[in-house]
Amino acid sequence: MEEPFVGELVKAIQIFGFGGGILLLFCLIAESFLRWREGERPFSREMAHNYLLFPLGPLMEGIFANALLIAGLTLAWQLTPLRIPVTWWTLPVYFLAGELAFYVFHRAGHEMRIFWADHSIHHSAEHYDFTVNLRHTPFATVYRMMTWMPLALLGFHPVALVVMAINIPAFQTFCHTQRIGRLSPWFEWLFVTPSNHAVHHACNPLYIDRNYGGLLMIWDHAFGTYQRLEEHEPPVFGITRQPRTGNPFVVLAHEFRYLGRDLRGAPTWGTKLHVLFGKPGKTYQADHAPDPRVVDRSSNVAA
Amino acid sequence: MVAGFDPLLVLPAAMLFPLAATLRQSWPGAKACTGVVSALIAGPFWLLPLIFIVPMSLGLMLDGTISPLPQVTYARLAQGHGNAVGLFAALAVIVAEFWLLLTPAMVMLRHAPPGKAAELKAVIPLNIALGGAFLAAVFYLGR
Repeated sequence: MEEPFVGELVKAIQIFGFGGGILLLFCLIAESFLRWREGERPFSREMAHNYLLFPLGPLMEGIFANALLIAGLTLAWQLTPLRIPVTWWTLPVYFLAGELAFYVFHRAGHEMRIFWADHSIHHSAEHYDFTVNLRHTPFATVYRMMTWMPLALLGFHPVALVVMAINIPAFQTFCHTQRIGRLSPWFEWLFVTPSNHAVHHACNPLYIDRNYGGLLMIWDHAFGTYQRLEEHEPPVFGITRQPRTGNPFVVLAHEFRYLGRDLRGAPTWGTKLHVLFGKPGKTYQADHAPDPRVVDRSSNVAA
Repeated sequence: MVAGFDPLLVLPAAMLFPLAATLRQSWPGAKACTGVVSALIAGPFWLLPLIFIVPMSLGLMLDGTISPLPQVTYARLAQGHGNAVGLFAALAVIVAEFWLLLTPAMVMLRHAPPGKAAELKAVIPLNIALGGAFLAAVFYLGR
């Protein structure tokens, strides 16, 4: 029963993904159209970066990264005698596990410097619109693998886990917009919404490292990382060390450059490890001359 | 159990609520609709299943499993899976088409930040054009 059911589940999620892709395409067209209506250029430089970084996401993942991810998780799954069957009645469990997997992966992407160097690429957009969905990062599969391995060892089927943890949180695609204001309080408490996700993309001290959820906010409530959008604190989008450049390769390498510099300068092996796995902004920082292409907001964050 | 009653009829019956919620969201005067009854039968809670139903319906249209015409979808699915499933799928197509053609624009206008609603009005014809183009393409390519 299990393998045919997994096959059906994968097919259903593929169909769901194609439908979601059509809706994303409409959102992207609407974004440029509305910018034009509002008297702005339909395509900004930042939007061009977002489009250029798109192949690092669904294309690269679809071609080989997800296959590597499933292969790695399957190795772990085969090591354990535990099995959580994939059937109709366990789908809610897989759904919640997928949400947890996304939460943990996402939190690691923000709270460990080595992963933040990659994930910050998605967050370095200073405009919060539908095209930010396209701003993908090259190494997400690495920390997906590391953070989802424990769930595979607990017996969660790797294919079912991956399709749940990647496809269901894709709902937040439709949340990257400022054109929708606040929704019902109960809805914002339970679900990722445009305002919840705006908090996540903001670099205000109040909002930093908050709202990691994929579709639901339940794991944020469970682990104390939920933050609602406060009327008195408008979100400032971007990252604390904001690159301002016309070169997408500089955007890609931005935080890796700082990571490498701090790693080289760290005096001991312990400090080097802390630079890699410590929280961004809380680890050793080598002295450096200010970069005119970088806006440093970190002093505001520390305040 | 009542003889001749198909328990799967619960599916299309339940689908009436998301349809009512969609109609409410698509209606320009929805803000004035604050009664308890309307909240019960057409409140935002009933939009939750649409997170899955709308993308799934579009994917199934692309796949050729269902048609943009609800009556064709009904006929196709009723043949293999029974009347209740056919009716459920036809209602899902109607709901998905509302979301393709009109509802997102109306939701966007209603929840627009203060002072932005006038600029955003153009999103209605855009919504109709994009959704209409998709449905026409699926309809003509799928024939």
